[in-house]
Amino acid sequence: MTRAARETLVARAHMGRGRMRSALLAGVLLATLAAGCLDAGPTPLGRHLVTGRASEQVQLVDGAVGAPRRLLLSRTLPAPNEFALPTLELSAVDDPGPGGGATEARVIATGLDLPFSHCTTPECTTPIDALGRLYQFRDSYTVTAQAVTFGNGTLVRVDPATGTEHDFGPAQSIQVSADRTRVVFEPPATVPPSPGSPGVSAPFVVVDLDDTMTSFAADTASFAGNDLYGLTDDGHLLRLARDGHAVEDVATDIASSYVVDTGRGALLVLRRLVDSTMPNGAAVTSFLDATTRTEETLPPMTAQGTIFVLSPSGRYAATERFPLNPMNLPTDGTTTLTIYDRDTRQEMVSTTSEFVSQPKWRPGQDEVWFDEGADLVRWPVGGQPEAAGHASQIFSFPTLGPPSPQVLSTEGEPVFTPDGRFRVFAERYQLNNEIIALQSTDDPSAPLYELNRPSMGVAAIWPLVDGSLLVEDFVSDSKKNDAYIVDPTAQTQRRISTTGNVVATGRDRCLALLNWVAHGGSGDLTIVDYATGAQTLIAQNVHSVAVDASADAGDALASGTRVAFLVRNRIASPYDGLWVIELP
Amino acid sequence: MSVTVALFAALLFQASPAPADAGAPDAGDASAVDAARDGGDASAPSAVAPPPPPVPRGRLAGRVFARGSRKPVAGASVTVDLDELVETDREGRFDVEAPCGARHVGLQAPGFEPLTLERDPCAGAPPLVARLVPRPGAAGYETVVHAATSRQEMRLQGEELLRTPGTLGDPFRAVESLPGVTAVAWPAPIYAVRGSNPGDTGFFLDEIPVPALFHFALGPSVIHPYFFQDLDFYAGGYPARYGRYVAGIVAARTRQAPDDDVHASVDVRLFDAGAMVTAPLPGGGSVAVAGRYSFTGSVIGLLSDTGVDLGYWDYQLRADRTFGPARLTLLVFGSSDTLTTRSNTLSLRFHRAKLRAEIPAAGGLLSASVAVGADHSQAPIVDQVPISVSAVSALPRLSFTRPTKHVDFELGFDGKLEHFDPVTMLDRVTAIDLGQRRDVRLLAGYASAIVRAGSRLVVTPELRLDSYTVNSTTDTQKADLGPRLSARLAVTDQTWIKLSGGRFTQLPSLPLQVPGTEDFGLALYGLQSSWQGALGVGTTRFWGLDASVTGYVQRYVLTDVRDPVLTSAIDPLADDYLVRRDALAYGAEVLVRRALTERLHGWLSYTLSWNERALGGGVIGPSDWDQRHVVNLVLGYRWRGFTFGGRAHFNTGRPVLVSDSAGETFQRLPPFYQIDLRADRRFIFDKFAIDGYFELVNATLSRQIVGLTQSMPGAAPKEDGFRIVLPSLGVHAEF
Repeated sequence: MTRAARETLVARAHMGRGRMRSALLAGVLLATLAAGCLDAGPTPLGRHLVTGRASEQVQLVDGAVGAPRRLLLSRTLPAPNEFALPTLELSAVDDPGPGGGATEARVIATGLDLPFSHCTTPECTTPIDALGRLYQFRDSYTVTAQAVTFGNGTLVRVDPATGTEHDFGPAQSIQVSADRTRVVFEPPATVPPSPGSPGVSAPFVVVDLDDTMTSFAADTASFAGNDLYGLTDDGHLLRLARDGHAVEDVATDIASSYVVDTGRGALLVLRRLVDSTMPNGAAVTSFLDATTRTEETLPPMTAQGTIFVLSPSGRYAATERFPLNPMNLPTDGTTTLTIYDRDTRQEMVSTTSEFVSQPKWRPGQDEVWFDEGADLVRWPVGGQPEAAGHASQIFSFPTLGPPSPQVLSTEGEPVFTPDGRFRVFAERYQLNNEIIALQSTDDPSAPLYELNRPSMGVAAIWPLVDGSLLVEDFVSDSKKNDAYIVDPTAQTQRRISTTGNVVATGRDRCLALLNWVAHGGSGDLTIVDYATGAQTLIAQNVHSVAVDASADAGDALASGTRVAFLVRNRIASPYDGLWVIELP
Repeated sequence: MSVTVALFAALLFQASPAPADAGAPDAGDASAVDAARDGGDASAPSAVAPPPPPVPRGRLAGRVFARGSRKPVAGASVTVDLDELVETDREGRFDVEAPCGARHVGLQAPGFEPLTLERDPCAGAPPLVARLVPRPGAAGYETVVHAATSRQEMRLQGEELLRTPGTLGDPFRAVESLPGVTAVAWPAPIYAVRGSNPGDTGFFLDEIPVPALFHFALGPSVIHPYFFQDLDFYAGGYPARYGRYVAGIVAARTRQAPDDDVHASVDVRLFDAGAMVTAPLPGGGSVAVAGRYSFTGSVIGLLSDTGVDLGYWDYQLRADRTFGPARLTLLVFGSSDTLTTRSNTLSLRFHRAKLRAEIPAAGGLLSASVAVGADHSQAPIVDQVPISVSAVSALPRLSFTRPTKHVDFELGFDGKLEHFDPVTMLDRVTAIDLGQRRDVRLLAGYASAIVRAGSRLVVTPELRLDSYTVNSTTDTQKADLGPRLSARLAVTDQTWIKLSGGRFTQLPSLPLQVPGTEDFGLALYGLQSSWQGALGVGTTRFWGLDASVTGYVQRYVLTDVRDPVLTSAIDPLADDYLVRRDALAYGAEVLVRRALTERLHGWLSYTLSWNERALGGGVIGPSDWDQRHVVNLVLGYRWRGFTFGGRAHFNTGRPVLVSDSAGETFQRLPPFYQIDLRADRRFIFDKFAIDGYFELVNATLSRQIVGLTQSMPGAAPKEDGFRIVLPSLGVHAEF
């Protein structure tokens, strides 16, 4: 082959490679252009404060008194070894406010127990004092090859503003006073000297904001308002008044006591033993008003009650008394019910041989309702007990909804709507769920209204300010449900959203996580209008939401309400992280 | 097909270099042949010799059959002492006059081994009955010559349909070894084509959509394999006569039954038995009937008391008849599957019947058909709440094709009218109408022109107008105009370039096709759509191989399952069970193929692909079926009556979601490979043939990984999977 021919071939080869490169380049360019056409989805509304996807939960917790609520992020840290459990890491985020830019989360505590360990409220909220400091536990669990044991953890106080931490040592529990100026914790009992012998209880420790500590030597401790009450093992009721450091001996011969919050302030129910061989069947009860610090003796039938239920106003007390045997179990016999008027000091008495459930006061009315055998009984103050329909056929009412104070609580039956106009009950069982129905409390004979269709269950009931109900019905996943606005009076319902769950309700609208994906637990945070069902998407793939309580008491989602949410896409996304929006 | 034609020509050339009735032959050659025929010396001067006494002549009559089947061989050439005298008629008969004495009677036909017999026409012997042995690998029964097409389809026929290793003898399963195809989770016969969802590829039998391809639990195809004539696979850019799928099309055609005599075949395998009978119809035409029944459930019941009952059956019928100029074809087929456990019943059943008439008209062919269908499905889809769906449908189709010198025109219309009647215990108002009673009206008109611009360029512009109407809780109607174009340029006699592209639409669909769960969600999700483009270059006779490379880009709008993680809480009747997503697929496909007529035959396919989805939330991620590399090598080798086959498959893993404390991440399943083996042995007797075969699918005992579980953060994920080996032993007898 001549040199010219070789050069020609080489040139052709180069040209061929050049064409191949051009074709490849064109192909890549075409693919890139086409890929660029793919829409990655809408950018979340609001301010992207913190990037990243490590956090699992966002909370808006109380700050110092008078200060705005503080943003906290938490995440679970994996157990370092097989003899440990996962722990919690808390981070604080300073919200620069509207117009502010991105910031960073500051880790303020690690190695904390997961929040379920020392929950003190149904919502399992974090104890916070008036300076905005958080109280948490560490090392409450002991892990061995055989078992995981829950025990005394170490109580720590964390200041989110500075990150400083104070260690109070081992403790069993913690409570915060109403004004958050005082906390009390219970150190563990001393170790018994020998196996089988009892240990010695350590006194409670009361801590003021300035870290002044006061010993409170009682077996129990509960705040009634801002005063601390406790009971000693020899029957003395002790009190540590707000701002005081001297423990007073308030009452004696007390067998048990507990605090009830009423419309008239906190009330202590005190029980004194009459016959020590029959601890519950032979006791008398009195009330101690925590505000006036006066003890109120009760009429004989009321005083012998074993169950005390105060009316929301605090004026009436409903009691039940049924004979107990020495094993503290109900015996067959007559149950006595009373209604006691604290103002007139009069009591009304009714007896029955049927099994009677714990009475409940109908909201807004001076009426006690209870189950008596298979019947539901209404007993208005000044009247006689009368049948009000059938008792629920379902043994237990389903637990409904997320741990939100906005959700209708189904604890204890009968369950009433907040305005007291309707009773909510499980009418019958079907497949995996119950049919939940509404019964008019003014006219119990009126037709029932079923909230869910057959084959569906009720996930949550959200009472709204206008008396209507927001009801979530589901098929198989209680977090993937259809939301309806129910008018209980007209007995109509109107669907406003599907495939998600409501996280907060306001006067005219709610916040919901729609298109809920169970695996990973996220949905599209959306404002849903009650009247029209119109939806405004805030962000996709939202994993956790916290709503700052609105200043408007009548509308928890008023315009300007601050909402913090964590975007956590199923896979890493530039939108992942903490966002904050002031609602439009 | 051109290979078959070449083979035919070669056989003719070898057998009869100068046919006696082939017009004026070369004079010299003719004299030599004549001399040899008479037994004289060709060089001897004929003028001086006395005229020979006339040779007494007799008649040679007989009939030629295909050995092993009793099928007559029409068109076989009959030669006597190398002179081709006649061809057999359509019943295989011949009758010739030949000189007395021992003569060599040669019989040859395409697709058969030549046969030579010695006969004396004057011996008074009974008519000759000859049986030609089919040539291994030949398509055999008919040879159809197709013009070079501008489309990028791949055609399978003959042994490729029936004996591809790894398919258990089911033609539709052969698709999984073709380029552009991702087998989602072997051994489930679920295929994703070019990045789309499995439900986005249509499977047609004689232009009828087949609602389910395979029986339950790794069962066979719902169509008897011997019913197939051939199968075209379009990974994209399919013809305008098809529609309503945004990805590819698998178009199979049934075989017309022979009309000479009654034939039958029987298949017995370890887990089912099937039979097919063909017969001529009185007065002309033919009919074929096939069916299959599984005894899997009975076997399971005998072996254990599990409470599981599995059973399936299917049937097919095709009848052809000519009335004057019109040719009528009736096709009926159906299938049933039932899986009963102690708690649930799963059943799928469908029936289809189609009557087609083809009439020459206006220089072309007018084809009209109507198919009717009935489906019934029952499945527990929401925990323990069953849903059953009954559906009836009618599918009219009308087309007119007219070939001219430069352009082949086709105009057509096809429709689908269907009524769905779901029954569920869920009393729920939703926008998704999958569980709602609904009426569907799908209509389409199309026009196509195959333009031959010179000898090297074929261009096929097409246009299809689709109208979709779904009347359920809301009445919704949408229309879409889908232009399509394909072209083939012959760069040389052996090298071509093809391009294809167009727009395709489809109603929303579930990821898998289940009878009764189609044609829904138009109001909620809108139409699925795709823009497709592909460019390929190929060559023939490349070291005895056909080879092609095709690059493609497909831009989709698809309905995806929002949450691909299956849990008992999944609710397919929820409005957001599906989500509308943008998707993109691009890549390259390589196919190297050696013809079936070769002793060593088969193909190598390689697919390089990227499949992306706009997942929302700022993320563009891989689709669930995104396998970067898929390689299939399918080989067959004939040796002494045996055919040994093997299939090697390799794929890089597809992505799955793996959960850990930081959320979920896409991780790739490990690469998967398997080798399937098959051996066939055919025993041919005079009037019948028996095939024995053994197949071992996944002979490498490879473990299929279908998921990953992150047990500990930072630790290697646990692989969830199974190992399945599918042996199959069967006997096929036909006469």
